[in-house]
Amino acid sequence: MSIAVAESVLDRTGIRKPDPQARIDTFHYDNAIVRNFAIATAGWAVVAFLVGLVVALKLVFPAFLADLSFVSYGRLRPLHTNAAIFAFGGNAIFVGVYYSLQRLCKTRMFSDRLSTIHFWGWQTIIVLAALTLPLGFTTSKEYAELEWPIDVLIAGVWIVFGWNMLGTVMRRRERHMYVAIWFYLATFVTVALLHVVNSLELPVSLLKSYSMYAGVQDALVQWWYGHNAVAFFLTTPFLGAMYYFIPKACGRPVFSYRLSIVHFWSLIFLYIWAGPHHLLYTALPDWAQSLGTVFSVMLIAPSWGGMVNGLLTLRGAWDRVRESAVLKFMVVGVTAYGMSTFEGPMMSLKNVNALTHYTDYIIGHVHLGALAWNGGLAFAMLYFIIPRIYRTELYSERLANVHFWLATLGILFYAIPMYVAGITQSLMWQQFTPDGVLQYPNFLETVVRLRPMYALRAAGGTLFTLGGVVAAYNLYRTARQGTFLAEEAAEAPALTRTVPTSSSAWHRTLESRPVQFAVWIFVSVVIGGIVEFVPTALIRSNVPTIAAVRPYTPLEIEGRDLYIREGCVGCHSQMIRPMRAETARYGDYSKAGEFVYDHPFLWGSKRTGPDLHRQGGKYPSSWHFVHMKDPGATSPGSLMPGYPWLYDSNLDTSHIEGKIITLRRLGVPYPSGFEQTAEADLRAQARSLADSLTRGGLEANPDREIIALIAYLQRLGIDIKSTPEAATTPTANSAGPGGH
Amino acid sequence: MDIAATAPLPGLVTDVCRHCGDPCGAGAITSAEGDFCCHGCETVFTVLQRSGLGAFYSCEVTPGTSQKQAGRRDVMRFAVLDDAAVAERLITFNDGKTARATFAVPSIHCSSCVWLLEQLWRFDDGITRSEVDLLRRAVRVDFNPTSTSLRRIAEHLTAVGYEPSLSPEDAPDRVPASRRTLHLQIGVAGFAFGNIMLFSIPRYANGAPLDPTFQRMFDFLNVLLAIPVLLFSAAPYFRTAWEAIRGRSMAIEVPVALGLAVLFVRSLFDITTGHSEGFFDSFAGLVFFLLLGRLFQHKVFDRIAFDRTYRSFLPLSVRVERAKDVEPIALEHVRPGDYIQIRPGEVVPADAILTNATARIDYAFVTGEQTPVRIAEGDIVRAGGRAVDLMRLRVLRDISHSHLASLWNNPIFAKTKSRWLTDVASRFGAWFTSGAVGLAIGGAIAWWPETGTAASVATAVLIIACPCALTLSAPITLGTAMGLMGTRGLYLKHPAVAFDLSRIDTIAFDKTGTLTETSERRVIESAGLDSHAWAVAGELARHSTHPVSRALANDRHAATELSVVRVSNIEEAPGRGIAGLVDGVRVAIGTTDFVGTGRTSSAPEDRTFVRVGDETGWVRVSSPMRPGVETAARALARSYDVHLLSGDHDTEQARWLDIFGRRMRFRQTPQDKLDFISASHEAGHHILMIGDGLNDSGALAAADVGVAVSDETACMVPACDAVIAGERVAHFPAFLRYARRARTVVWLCFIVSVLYNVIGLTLALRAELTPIASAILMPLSSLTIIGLSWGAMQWSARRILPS
Amino acid sequence: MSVLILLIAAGGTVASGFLIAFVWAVRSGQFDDTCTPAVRMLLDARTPLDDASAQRTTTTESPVSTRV
Repeated sequence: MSIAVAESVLDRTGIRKPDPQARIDTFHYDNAIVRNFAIATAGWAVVAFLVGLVVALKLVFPAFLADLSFVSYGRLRPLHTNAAIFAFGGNAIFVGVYYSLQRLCKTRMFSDRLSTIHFWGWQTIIVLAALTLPLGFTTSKEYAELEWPIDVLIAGVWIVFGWNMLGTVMRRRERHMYVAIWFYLATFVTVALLHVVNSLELPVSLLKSYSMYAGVQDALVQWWYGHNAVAFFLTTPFLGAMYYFIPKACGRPVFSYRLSIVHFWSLIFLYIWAGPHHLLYTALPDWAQSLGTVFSVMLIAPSWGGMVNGLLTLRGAWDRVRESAVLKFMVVGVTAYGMSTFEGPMMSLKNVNALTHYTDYIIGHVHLGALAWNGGLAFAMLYFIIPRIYRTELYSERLANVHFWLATLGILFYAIPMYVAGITQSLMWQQFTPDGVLQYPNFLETVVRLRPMYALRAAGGTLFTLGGVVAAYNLYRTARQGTFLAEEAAEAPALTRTVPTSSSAWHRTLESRPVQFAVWIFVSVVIGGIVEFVPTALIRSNVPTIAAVRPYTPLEIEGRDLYIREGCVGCHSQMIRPMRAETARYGDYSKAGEFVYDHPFLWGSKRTGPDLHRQGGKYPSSWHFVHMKDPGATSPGSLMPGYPWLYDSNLDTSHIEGKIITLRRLGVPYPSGFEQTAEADLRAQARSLADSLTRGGLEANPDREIIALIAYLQRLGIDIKSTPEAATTPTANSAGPGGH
Repeated sequence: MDIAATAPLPGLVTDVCRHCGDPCGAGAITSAEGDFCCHGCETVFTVLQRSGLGAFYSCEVTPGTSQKQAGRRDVMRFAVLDDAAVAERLITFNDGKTARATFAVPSIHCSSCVWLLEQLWRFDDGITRSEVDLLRRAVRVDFNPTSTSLRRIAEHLTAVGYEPSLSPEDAPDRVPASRRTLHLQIGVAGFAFGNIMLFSIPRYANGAPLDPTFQRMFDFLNVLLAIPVLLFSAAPYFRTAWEAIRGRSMAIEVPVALGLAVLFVRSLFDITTGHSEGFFDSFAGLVFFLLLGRLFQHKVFDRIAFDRTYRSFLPLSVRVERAKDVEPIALEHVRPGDYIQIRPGEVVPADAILTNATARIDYAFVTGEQTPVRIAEGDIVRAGGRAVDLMRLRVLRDISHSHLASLWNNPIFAKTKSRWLTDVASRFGAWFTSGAVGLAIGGAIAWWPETGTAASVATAVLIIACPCALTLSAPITLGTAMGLMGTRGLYLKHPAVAFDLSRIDTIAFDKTGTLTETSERRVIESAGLDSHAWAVAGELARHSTHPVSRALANDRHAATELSVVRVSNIEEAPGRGIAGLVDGVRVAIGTTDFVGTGRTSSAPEDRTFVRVGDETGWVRVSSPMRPGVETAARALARSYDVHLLSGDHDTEQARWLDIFGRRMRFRQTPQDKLDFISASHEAGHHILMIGDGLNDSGALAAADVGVAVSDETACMVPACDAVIAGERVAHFPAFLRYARRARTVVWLCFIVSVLYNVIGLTLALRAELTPIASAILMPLSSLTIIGLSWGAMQWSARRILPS
Repeated sequence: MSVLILLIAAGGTVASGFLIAFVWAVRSGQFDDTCTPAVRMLLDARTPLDDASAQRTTTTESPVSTRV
């Protein structure tokens, strides 16, 4: 080699400053936004865990924090799920994205302003959720409980996030888009769509709305959303993070990059269709159910592709796993991901589903995913990022290990009891005596049997929460000892787009024409479908297929809204599956036609208490009156809390008119003008119900909320028993609780 | 392939080069930063430190590659890059302001390389960005042609220790547009397949029948999704089929294309008539799986090609002038700027410049023209030229294996041998195809009344029929075999040779240089001449590649330096001797009658006579046996009919008696050997001749398989089918066994595919095969064949061949 | 079950979106090199494997081995 050249190189490099002519950009990574989301993640994590712990304790000690409406089980449960998924999970996602995306694209985030709006917007949403849910403002659709104004806000903030992300990708200085970026983009696009479609609702007032869809339709949309929320909010972004942080943390390239690409495309092409597996044995058409099953089973392949890729990346680096908490959490997380993505498809096989659905098995399943996979990756990311942006080492590896073991034990103590509880209860439900009657006709027996399990679960939850606190402390001390680097300098050559890729024009036309042609047709057909067909169809399909099924009376509507407010759906299903065990226990199985006026549907997904679909007329109203005040009085050993406030507060009927109008808009056949007489009708029905109770020696005030709730409960599932000719649309004079 | 970086050293071991990790021997430099094995490495280190890239050394302890060769290289060698024609090869885009060039940088091996080379812009304002392709070992550089040049960039690369290779066959393969298209076609087919399934499952799902609204919508969407599959994904099949039909030939794509067409049209018909939901799921599935198979096939062929061009070498070496003396260096290690010596009969391995006064060279390999041309100092000698006189050359470009191989494959040397394997395959292919189509039509007619069944039978037959074993197994098996043998020292001319090897029943060995070592030969006894005369003789001997001459040339007497010597009028009589004028003195080396000692040939046979002027002397030269060949020969003698053909006297007969028994012939002239080989060939034996490239070339040509043994010679024998590295001769039995294995595998594949077709077609004709079933079976069979042939050869290589 | 049409429509739109993205990615050569990107993302402008080494005390660690 010529020394001359070397020298010339030395000369130029010795003095070289990046000059404007050469297109070398110097820029700074925005670490501040990363830190903010990190703090939010840690903070909300603790909150979410604590609320979860409270909820768990309530199932062990029903008296714990009873009599306070805003911390009753029914209202806290959605708060817990939302906090865990959107506050903890959401912020964790944004930490990962904002840290890795900048570095993968070799550029700062597209706009600091958008970043800030995104951050504060998201925190606002969380705070609003934390306020509205305990106050009982909820749509009752799982993981989409928030009322319409917050839904709008979510949509807005999400768009901001996507805009910021896309902008960053556009401005990248790296020609290749690393696979993680694909996962992030898929997350944005799909979640946006899911959220919008599922949240289509018609407002009654500022904090009350009715779902656009009714009954079966609503259920299908909800679970199409519910499932894909898991897929695209709790899976894809974390997979993206996995593909960034595992290689970074162990200093090895991902096991097979090709596999990661194949894995991504097959995953997103499959996931979207698996939703119906949440509705097996329901009133959903068989073929739609089988569809869900088939695609869920097919999902094993891409899911495990990801798991294998993640774990094999660590091959030969296990020594480092031993010494680094980051990798430990990654390993547990990815392993748990593999387990739950195997469990899921299994549970969407009809016969398995018959056993696990409605039970604690599901709770075990989702917590394995949430605590181990999402929690694991979230904490791994925090342990990875905080020391780096604070330019220091982790405050204490030992504390991190303590956290790791607390978390792992916590998960075990949580999941295993839930699996046991689920299967135990399910088997008890289906147990028949030799002479063909239910072995445990009283639902309560099957609940009492589970209490030790619930206690264990609470213990597990406590361990996990402790771990969270330790982590928060450890991270705080790390931040304290380090010096925060808000603006991290970096330089990279600009990306020139001018250079075309060499492929002959002939090929290009060949490639482009048919595909894009077809795609565009597909899109237009699809959109046409929505515009033309759906609205009318939605209305049309709300015409009852069962003549006897009638709309709810005004009082029942209010009662139903109370049922929603108190989150009864969290523990009581309203969907009797066509199985001997269920029909024997609850009565005739539920028909699609019975739900045509249910905005929203209230099928529920968990039976901590019995199914209520055929509740109407099962017990006298007086029973309900006593039961709702103190469940223990009528059913000793019940886990159900009392609802004393229903007996003290007056029913707010101010919105009944609007409710009637709104429901009519959604296709419920209330005769025009009915809204004016609605209130009177309501009062009349309330009075007669109250009278019947007083006659029974209970002092019942017709203006109290409890009356409406009882009216609704007594109406549940009775239409189908009544004779068709009685099926007339309600009028001012035809009142009376289930009086047909 | 694994290009894992070398294992790290524990900490910084002294007397190991800080840059490349080589031990620091003579000429090591010690500095504050550490020790360096050579100036090259030190310079690179300094360059990196000075340009703030010292972190290069924090990834691995010694990530660099040695620069020892560098110092000896020619500063001007990148001047060629200023030549537009050469630049053209590297530049993929240039609009005057920005240009993009792709350099092949063989020394790229680890992540540090990527890190360093993607910061080239730190060295030159003109460089806008650089991207490394680890797999193809290439750097793609975007630069501003007005402020820097290809040459500059190449020099920068060299400055940081990553010298680009300019030789054409190192040029990284650009991802062919066709490959991208294939990926797209797979993606589209897969997408359509998945969604069509989505809309078809409701049908299969037993339960309440679908309401008509959905059925109609789903059918419509299926058609919509199937269109791009037909027009785009399946396009290659239709194109090839159409070309085949136009060309009145029969390609194997024809039945597939027909099958697809039938499937599509029929499904369309069924749907429009509302008579059934059609088979779009099978249609899309078939295309999807077929394309996957195609992709896999591509990958296998790429791998074979890679082994061939990058991992297997002509096991030739050439004498390179190093600091002290002249040492034989394996071709792949020769670099531009090296000085090499080419002896008469040897081939010039790379474009080079003649540095001695004058020489003669013939371009038989290149042009087929045998008559030598005379060239003078400073003339450029093209690779492939064959030296007539000893020449000293300076290498201009990197050695190009594939170039040499292609020269060697020059049709004028091609033997007219039975390539029946390939012929059979192609003929069978056509026959098979027309057969399949015929069957389909026949089957359809047989089932005629029921049009539905008739259609599906025809479809099933067309789809299920798969001649892939015939078209794939042979090329893949033999190709893999060839590649893997090449990496282990036996370099075949082309894949078919592997097959010929497997059919050998007779083996003829040359003794000298094959069973015995040539490089180790020593003069053990000499008499009759004074040391000056020996030196003179040595000068003449230098011009011959015959073992005895080489021994003589290397002998201590010959070492005594003479002043200027001019050797001329050299004439070599193969098998007899060499004669010429050394400074006007007539010198002859060879047999008694050749040298003309006038003595009766009663003298001991194993002497070689030397005549310088009027004095005559003689030498006796040892012929040590190659390690391991004895056992090898014994092994072969068991399963083959082995012969020994030696040009020497029979004094050593005893040594070979128990191996070759009476099948030994001594004092064989090349003509004798040739006659023997042809005779046995005529007698219907499949004979393999393994011998010294120069003296036995005739015999090698005549043999069914001629294997030239190469030691420290750069001679390449036109007519031989394979070259084996001297030290590999001992492993020859293994290579033969491996070749036989290859043949077994080919046959195995044939059987598998015949079975598959018989069963498949029977089922299809009996209408017991649904389109979806055949759609899965057909690609499966091709995958089986490809996997079987490739996998089996890889596996056997590990089991049988020497590593 | 007309809402299924809505869902299929919605799903279809997203799916086609992804398909277009896929076509773009392949044609713009995003997936031509499926080896280097995995390594490149490990390398920070400052030092190779900076992130991995920040966790470690020694800088002499086993090199990134790259499968090809």
